[in-house]
Amino acid sequence: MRRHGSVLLWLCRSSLSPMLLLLLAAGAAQAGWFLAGMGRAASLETLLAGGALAVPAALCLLLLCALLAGVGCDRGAAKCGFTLRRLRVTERAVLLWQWAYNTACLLLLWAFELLLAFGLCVLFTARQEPSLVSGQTVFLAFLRSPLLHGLLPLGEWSLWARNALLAVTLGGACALLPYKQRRGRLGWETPAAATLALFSFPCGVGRWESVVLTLLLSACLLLQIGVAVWGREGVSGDEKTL
Amino acid sequence: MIEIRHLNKKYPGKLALSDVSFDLPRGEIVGLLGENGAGKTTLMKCMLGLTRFEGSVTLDGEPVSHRNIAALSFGTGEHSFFPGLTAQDHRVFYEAHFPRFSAQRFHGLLDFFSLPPHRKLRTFSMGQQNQFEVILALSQGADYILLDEPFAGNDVFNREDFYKVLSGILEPHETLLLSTHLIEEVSGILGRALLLRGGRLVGDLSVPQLEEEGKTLLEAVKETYRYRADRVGRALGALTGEEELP
Repeated sequence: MRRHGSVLLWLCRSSLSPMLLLLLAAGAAQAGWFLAGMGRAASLETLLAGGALAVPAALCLLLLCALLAGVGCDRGAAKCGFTLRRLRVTERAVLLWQWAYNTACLLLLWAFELLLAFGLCVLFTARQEPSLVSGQTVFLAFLRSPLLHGLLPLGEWSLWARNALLAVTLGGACALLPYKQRRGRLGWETPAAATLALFSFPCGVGRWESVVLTLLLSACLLLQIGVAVWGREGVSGDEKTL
Repeated sequence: MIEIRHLNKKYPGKLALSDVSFDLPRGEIVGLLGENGAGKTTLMKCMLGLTRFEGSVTLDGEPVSHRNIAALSFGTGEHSFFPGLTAQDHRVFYEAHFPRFSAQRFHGLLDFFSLPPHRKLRTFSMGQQNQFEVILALSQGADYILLDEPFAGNDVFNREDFYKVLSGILEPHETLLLSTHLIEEVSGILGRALLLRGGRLVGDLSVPQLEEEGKTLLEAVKETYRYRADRVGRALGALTGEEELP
């Protein structure tokens, strides 16, 4: 178990600090944008529609994907693939740990964005004239704003499932990229999954056709990742895996 | 013992290794010598199973696999460490994967090279990164240590001191396969030299035997490669239009 734990240690040491910095930077940008627009916005929903939360969150997601997918890539003067192929755990086991770790990081991003959005909405209602807000304001914002509804789908279980599947798919795609890169192959699944997550995540109430489409595309990507991991390993690359 | 038999490696449009066969018993310090592109790095990668090849490489009669790979370590100028980890992180990581990892040797060599234990490797200079790569390979607890051009970017004083340390720390069961261009520098520690040329093994020289014959390793290498001592004079003559220099 220690050898598997060491793989997790490597992943954490390589990406945890920059990830936390990224979350802090994104949170600061979102809070700053939100607070700056708070005095001018007529309502919470118009403020949210201006992109105060969505734009930094989207950038944060893309940067996080780049960060996670960069761990384990062979670079000019550092080919850690030589070491990863000589360990007491298989390279596939390393990939699976990286997949699990990436998924956890993406779920952390989801939780962070949800808490931040909720906190900012509560702050907004606290600073408004009592006549302009009600106890339902935050609830309605999470119902009407596509981004907030994506973050907290309330009773829409299909959206909870979609979010979880997106996290697993994107986590897997980010783990597959370095695995393929070390074999001289292109990890196209990462940009594909990131694009899918980026455009499908904000989702209004009852948009079941969008949810079904996202679930289908996610499942296809997941299947592709599974084939790449468990299929005939290293056939098209020059490198022979031990 | 590592046994290499009829090893062939082809890249598209190029034969990198052709019918290479030799044995590598325990307890030897062996130089793998050859010009650029002779196949030295490719041979080491084949031995480690990092690239596909034809022929066979066995370690004590077994093919190299996850079961016995820990008996081989690899230090390369291309660097196999994790740039986002510190030296200490590497120690923890290596100890988990290589049960015979020598923390004593690791810390001793870290001190010898004055490398900072708590700084990420990506912040090291190229020379320091090379040194750390060698430290990892030597500390893994492997019986066969493969070093591929490990001293590129290090100054001559560092290299000389390191050769002395290296010859002092190796245990009798440890085999070192050292690929390098610096023949004169390493000739003092080598017991044997394998000469590659154009992907073929063109020489397998015993250094003590050469000494008995009154030859240096460099002379033997030049002889094997049919080194033309007059080529500099001829080139200068052709370039300057003057008579051939002696």
